[in-house]
Amino acid sequence: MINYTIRRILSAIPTLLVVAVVIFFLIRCVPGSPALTMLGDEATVEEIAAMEEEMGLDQPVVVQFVKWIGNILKGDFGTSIYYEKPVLEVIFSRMQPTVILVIYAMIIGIVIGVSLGMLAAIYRNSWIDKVCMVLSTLGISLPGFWLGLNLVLLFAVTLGWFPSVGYVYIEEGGLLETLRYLTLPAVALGLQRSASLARITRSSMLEVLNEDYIRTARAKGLPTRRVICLHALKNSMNQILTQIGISIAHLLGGSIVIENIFTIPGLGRLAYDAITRRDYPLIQGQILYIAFIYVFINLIVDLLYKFFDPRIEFK
Amino acid sequence: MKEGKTRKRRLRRTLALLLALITVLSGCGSSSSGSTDTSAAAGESAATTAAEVTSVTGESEEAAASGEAQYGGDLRVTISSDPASLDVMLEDVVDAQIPGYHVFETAICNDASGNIYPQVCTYEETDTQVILKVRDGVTFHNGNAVTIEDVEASAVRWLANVSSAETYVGSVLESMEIVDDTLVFTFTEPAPLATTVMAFYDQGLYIMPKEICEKYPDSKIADEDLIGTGPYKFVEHQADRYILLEKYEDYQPMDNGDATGMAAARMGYVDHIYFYPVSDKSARVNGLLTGEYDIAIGAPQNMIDQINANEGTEVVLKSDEIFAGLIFNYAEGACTDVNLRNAILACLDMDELMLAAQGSEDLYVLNPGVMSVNSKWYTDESLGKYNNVDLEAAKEYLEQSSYDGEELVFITTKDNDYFYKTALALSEMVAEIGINIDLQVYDNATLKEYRMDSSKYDMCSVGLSSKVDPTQISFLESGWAGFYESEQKDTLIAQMKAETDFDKRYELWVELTKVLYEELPNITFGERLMVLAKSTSVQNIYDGTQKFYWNTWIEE
Repeated sequence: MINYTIRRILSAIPTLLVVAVVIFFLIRCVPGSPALTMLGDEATVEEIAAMEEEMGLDQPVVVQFVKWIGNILKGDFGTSIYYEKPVLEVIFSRMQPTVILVIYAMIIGIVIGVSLGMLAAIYRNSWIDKVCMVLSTLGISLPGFWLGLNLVLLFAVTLGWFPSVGYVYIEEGGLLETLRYLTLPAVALGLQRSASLARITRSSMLEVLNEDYIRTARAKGLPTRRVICLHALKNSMNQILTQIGISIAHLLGGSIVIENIFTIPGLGRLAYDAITRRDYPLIQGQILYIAFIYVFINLIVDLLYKFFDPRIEFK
Repeated sequence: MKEGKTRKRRLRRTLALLLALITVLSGCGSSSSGSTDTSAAAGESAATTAAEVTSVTGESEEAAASGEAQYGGDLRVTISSDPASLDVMLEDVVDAQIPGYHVFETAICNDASGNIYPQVCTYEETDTQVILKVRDGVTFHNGNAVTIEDVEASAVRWLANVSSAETYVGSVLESMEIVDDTLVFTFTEPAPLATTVMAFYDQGLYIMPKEICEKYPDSKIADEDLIGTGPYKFVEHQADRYILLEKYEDYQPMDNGDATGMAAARMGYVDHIYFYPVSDKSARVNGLLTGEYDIAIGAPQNMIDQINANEGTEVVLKSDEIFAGLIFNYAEGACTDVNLRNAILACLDMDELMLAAQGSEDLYVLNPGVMSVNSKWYTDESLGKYNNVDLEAAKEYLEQSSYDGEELVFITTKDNDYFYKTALALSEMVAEIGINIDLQVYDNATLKEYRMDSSKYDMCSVGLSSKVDPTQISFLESGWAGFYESEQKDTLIAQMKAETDFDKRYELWVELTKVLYEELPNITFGERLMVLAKSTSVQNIYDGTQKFYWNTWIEE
């Protein structure tokens, strides 16, 4: 398993390199100059040209790329044009809210999605199954921002149960206060993910429930709860795990919109601002960072397969 | 069997609850959008009656109506984005300037109409000299008294980094030296705008400690070194969360009598001011409605009814001195033909355009120029062309032009929704006489880049901001978007820059305004007003345009 893990980590390097090449050249294909961000609206053509020269943006793109990659290999992701601080420092300063939001949303998604999926599978073709699937279709169809705005109207503005905007760091107000601020955005994100998880759970559970060993377990008199949770669910987990891994990537993407709606100082909001400001080093650094997280999560998911299905061998 | 039935009942209850939640959410959403539509349609009447309107002549009705000032409490205000730094001397982003000018003060300052008053320094001015002297008792937030050496160091940093300082002061500066306890600027020729640019809140001559100026000769000041003289001192800046300022107890307000705007005495009523960066307009209003904020700047027009209907919140309309309009490409393409430009102007119903932009007739003022109706520079001169819809005249202009029916590229953005809305309405208006528009919508960053490239457009949406002096207007520079070049314009600007008497300068500005309507490098549709939503306990909101809160208090 250790060898497998090392090989997987090494195989991630070309993936990250491809991401680096694509994002570097893609962002430069988009019009909009970082020099204008620095100089403001009133800058003249001459001032913009001078600033671009100072920032090295007048050099050939390939030269800029080689310099950037060279610096990254030395651990230097560059300096944010807007914040004038090292890219990694800016990214790490926005980590906490996004990490907690994604975990919180994922928990909500798993609890609701897996429960609905199990119910639908157990009572397949009944009205319960149909209701569960209607709910999951609804969940997939509702845009996160719409859900977020309506949650704010209902639970913050009308009922006053939760704050509508902002974030409190754990070290300031404790975990409960942090979760209070993140509940509405996490629900908005989590409900969406629960929909797809419900569908995957249902289909994988249906496959497993028809297996001989489930019939055997029932025949020997095991309680239904034990059969479902211990045997059926555990053997369905690999497909669900795959979906959870994909969901985390979706949640990181969804946080861009949700963090703006709820004014959360996280990576999503940082990414949005960096793009609107054409802060090249920050955009590149952040996308590389997210790609790294994605690769890492996929690795964890792959390693967890073995836990749920001991027959799997890492070669 | 019984167990099975009980489980089914539980299940039904659970599912019924889930369904009810979804129904409530959907209902909530639809009622929300319904009310939005209604308020948008009824915007003129409902918004007008409920909103507390600040007079556009510069007098704050609210200030007059307020009760006795109260000290204490925290004020929580929104800004649009998180600033990179609060170095007001170098930052030209308004979201950096707003908290920044609570911390730093200019040597001298402007009132709401642009008149000059003392601030950190008293001043004397002749045609070729400006003499600054530090006012007694002014101290920095670190407790040190402000010295003339600090003023000199600030001036050196200012002249080296700020383009308007170089243009209006540096380029005619013969010497700058300390004489006794004064700093004397001597000019090679009259510099009528020297004190104006020194006093301007936007990159004016802000006074900072000498050691800070020397530590940051050409870079922005780091948060830990934000030491100014203002009524509030910097406490902390948590990126994307808030900027916290605390009242500076040793602050000595400057008594400028009945001066308005930033020249009025700065009292510092509240103990702390929090500036929250909130880019989403709805989030600002929601935060106000749930008590997270006290003031939400730039609320959407369609939420005015909701804000006024909510107990404890209200709307105030403020002039933002932003002008909706367009600039023509003066360098190349079809719009280099003045007859075509005149044909377009003759089609434009400015009321309709501004209504499209703002959503309510209470949210704009018709203004043919680019100096606010509140400004001492305001003139309604337009050679009779502004808001004078005459399709016959437009057709005549069009016939005289070289326009051959080609599509004119009009670049705009939805990031500033009034850009897009006015561009769309204009396209329909000019279509009536056969002018075809190719409306190209980009994001704001792209628009800013494209407008500096003459090959990309014929017309471009702009939101021009008012300046303290008309010679500072961006599009009058040939190097800026539009690339407007004109001998008449250059001559008049040169005369204005050399003239010191305001009345004569005003006459020259009126002449320049006529030239602008003759040559038509741009069209102004009107002046926008801004919706400021606030808690009813917040009193004495700033007058004028600059958003300062040192004279705002919270009523218990």
